[in-house]
Amino acid sequence: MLCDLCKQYPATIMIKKIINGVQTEIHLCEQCAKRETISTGGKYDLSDFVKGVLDMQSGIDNSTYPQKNISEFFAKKLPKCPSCGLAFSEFRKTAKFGCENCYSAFSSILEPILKKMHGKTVHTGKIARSAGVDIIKKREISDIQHQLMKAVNEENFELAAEYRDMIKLLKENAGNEQ
Amino acid sequence: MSSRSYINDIVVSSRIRLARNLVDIPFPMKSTAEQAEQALDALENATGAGTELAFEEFEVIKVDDLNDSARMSMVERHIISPELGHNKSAATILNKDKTVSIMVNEEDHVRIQCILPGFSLYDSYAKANAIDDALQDKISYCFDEKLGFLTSCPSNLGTGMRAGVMVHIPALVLNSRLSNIANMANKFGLALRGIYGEGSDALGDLFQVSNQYSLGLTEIEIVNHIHSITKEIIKYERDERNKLLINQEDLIRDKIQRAYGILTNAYMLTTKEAMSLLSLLRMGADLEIFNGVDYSILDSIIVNIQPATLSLTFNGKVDERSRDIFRAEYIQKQLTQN
Repeated sequence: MLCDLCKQYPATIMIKKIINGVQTEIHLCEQCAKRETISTGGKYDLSDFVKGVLDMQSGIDNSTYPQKNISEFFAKKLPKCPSCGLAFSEFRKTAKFGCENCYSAFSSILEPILKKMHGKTVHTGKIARSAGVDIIKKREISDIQHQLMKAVNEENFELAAEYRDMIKLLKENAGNEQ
Repeated sequence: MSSRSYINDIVVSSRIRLARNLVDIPFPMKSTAEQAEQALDALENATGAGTELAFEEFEVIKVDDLNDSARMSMVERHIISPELGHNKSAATILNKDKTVSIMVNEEDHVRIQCILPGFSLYDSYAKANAIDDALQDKISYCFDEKLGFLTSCPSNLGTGMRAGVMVHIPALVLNSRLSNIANMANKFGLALRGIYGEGSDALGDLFQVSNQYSLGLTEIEIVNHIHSITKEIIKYERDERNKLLINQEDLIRDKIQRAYGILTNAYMLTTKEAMSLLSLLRMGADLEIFNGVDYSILDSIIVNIQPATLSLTFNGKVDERSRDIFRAEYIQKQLTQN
């Protein structure tokens, strides 16, 4: 196997990283590995890259970003968005996606970025009408389930029973409509 | 003094912004001229006659049709963002009382913004949310069950919401307590930023408290956070004002009366100087040291003396020096005619 970066010399070193369940592998020749570890200060960490994205987003000049080569590597490894043609390198520069499909095209790098940006990765707010009735109903039920758990924890069993009946009713209605 | 409520003197305005994108059209950054026009058409149709929103009497203003001063003035008045206007179909759809500006083809296709005066974040959210609902009669948004509303920048993902209040906190600034407030806001995932001017050089002691996170919280949770932090800020600002009165009333009285003296007698005033003097008057009105001019007048002066808006008032482009003369004249007239 040739080195992922220079594509000239055989890869002798593999760097593997798992961040939030996203596994990335990079195979390097000795020369490139040496350069990479020096240029990254001995660390190869996606979170620095995420930080880079965040810094760029907040407008901090990031010309001294040490992991240029690594993210260039990712730029090559990740495909362009099939829908709008946005390349990862563009996203790295602007921290902006080009279309709704970019989110699935770049889903593998999304989670750590969202964790870093928002601390959370799952939406709990308003649901668009375009999401469809099923999702809206599902959310309604899960919200009440949440309330039910809370009521049980607070030993407010009267309220919990009310929630239980509400969920039952909602589930029945959903079943009838199908 | 009609607008002089307990809270209006510290919370100047409350703002909600919802970022949305239309399905099947690439985000503005990647959309063609035709696609951008298509997005604008869709929004015009969704807000015009015969829709649920007709009563708002929306008007479409294309950024391309505005000259530089007119565009900058809209930025200064917070009707549009500085980023709006890099393509031909960038526009604001503005309601009659100018409380709602639907920006089209900014970073996202749709940015619903509602700004209401005073501490009215819940009302502002209710209004923006109602418009968001009504728009969906005619248009479909990009939405993902797990990620929420899909926005061009992942930092707006989820609710797509940025909520914020503009606070006037001169006593906290004067007593060097700003970093305490910023830290407190930060702990709740909120950010404190200057409204006018850059970085720490915030003009007029006006700051915005807004949410940093848009994903993983409900809209109401975000609004609740800002609401409770703002209540704390109001309390702290009031404490600091009382401290000023107790410990150095003479000094403060002197400062405020001097500010009035300069504002009503100067021949030239820069934005920076005018803003800090007006900030003192605004506080003086609350401390009952300076009476006779309503908050609403002071607030409209603050908006109208910004460079581009002032140029518009005086019909067209003027150099900086004549603008400073106009500014002094304008302020004098506003403060003395009442």
